Amino acid sequence: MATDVWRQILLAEDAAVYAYAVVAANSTGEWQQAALDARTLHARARDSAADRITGSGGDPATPSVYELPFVVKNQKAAKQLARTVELRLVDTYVIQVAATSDSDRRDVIESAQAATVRAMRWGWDPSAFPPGPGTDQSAPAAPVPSPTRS
Amino acid sequence: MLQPSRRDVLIGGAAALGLGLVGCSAGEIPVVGGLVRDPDQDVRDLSVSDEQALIAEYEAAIRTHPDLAARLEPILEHHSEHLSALTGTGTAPSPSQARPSATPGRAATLKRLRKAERSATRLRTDLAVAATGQDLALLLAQISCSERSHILLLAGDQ
Repeated sequence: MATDVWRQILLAEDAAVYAYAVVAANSTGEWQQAALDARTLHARARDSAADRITGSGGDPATPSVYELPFVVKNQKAAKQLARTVELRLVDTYVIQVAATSDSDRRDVIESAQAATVRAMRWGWDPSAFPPGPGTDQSAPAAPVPSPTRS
Repeated sequence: MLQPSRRDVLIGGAAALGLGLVGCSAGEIPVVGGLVRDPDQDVRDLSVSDEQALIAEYEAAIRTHPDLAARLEPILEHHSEHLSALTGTGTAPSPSQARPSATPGRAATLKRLRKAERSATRLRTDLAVAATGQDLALLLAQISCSERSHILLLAGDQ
């Protein structure tokens, strides 16, 4: 896969890791555990993308701070953030279909499918097509992240 | 013995198509009778017939179990949207004559639909990988995500 593909995956997965820390901090019980598990999973995907970029001589730099699309101070907003993050990942992975082929394309499609399932577990009511960034009716705010360098 | 369903036949066709595509390297456009053939026509045709078969399965399931309609109709609507996107038209599919030979119970119906969606997710993924056109590949990838979501929507036997 081209480095540009890995870079987009890296940024989306890194944003997910950041967001799930916020989700976990604003969740309790099984939802908090689910957020921590998701954070681990996305960290693994992010590190794998970073390794691929480093391996091809690139710089796997990521923003140190992300701006959340809305204020998250309770469980409801936390779940909404998790849905938003996963739907953004669906979109990120689906877009990579155009830049990949063969087994790489299969991998990005399967990653998009997995993110779809996770969005549902966080309460997303599925539509015929992934909604694309910022169009989830239950998450009207802009998608995460708007990276801001600190 | 169960006869192979229309979907099974279609999936067999996908495997055959996969083999067929291996022989045609990228950049080689098959020319038939002096006309350039759309290299994705088979992918598109197979996707359309599979969506039509799925729609027929849901319509039959709703006729047999009207009490499942509230649950199945939104999924049926998704498949209609997939079909419209694939054919590029808003027309309804021609009704299929395919009917299940027996009348399965609710749990068996849901199980059958889950199996159909699992096969559809796999087939759509294979076709997205086989597609040469980026727009078609992207559309099939999106549809595969929707079909994966249906497996979850159909979970449980009630």
